[in-house]
Amino acid sequence: MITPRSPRGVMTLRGLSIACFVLYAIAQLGAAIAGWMEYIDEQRQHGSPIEVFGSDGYVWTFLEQTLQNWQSEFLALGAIVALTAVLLHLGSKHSRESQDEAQQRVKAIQRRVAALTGKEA
Amino acid sequence: MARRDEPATELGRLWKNYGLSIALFSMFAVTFVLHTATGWMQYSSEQTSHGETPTIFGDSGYVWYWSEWTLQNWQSEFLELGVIVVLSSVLIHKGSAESKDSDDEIKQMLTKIEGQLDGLESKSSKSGSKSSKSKG
Repeated sequence: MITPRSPRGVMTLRGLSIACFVLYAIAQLGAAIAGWMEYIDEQRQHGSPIEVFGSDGYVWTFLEQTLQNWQSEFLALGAIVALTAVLLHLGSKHSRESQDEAQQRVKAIQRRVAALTGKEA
Repeated sequence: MARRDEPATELGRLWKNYGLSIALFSMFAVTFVLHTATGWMQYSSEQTSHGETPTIFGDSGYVWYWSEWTLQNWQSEFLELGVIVVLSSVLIHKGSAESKDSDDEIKQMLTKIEGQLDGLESKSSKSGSKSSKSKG
């Protein structure tokens, strides 16, 4: 079993988040480049200046598109965290009843073991 | 990792118990406000370049752009959550933390341990001593 204390490389211990953030970086870069191409095409059609900053700059398009996605992601994560605390979908991994059941059974086992060892001691 | 010492203040307790959703909803609130602001900058520059005046309401008002952007994302997020909740109740990806195969395995082991305990308990009650069982 891998635990945080096992002497292993960073890829073993943090591979999941590293992979996610690398994929994020690639997609973010691609979105920035593709968004820039779209922006300059639109500015040309309108005869408007192409600039990164300024009131008509790409920075607003880019930030709008990026933050638009981020806000909904954070909302979704917050929603699943908060909703799974109060609502169930029987049998789903994201439903807490299975863990609750396991916890209660472990507690009962703990009591029975304590009773047995107390008697035999 | 859970801290042992109980936080002194009400706010500290709230953070300790619900920090995860507080952090997520704060990040949502910040990006939601920033998205609304940067969306306005983009919308108003587009309206100006078409020779139109940027307005909040009205037929070509910002409210339609903003609602379309926002709801377009929200619908896909909630669909995604609903899909993972329902699919993870019927399908498995072996070894994944999002899959319930590990839960099922733990339950099978618990059943086995409970069976072994049954055996131990009946053996120890047969072997003489009448001391009270503390069962709950």
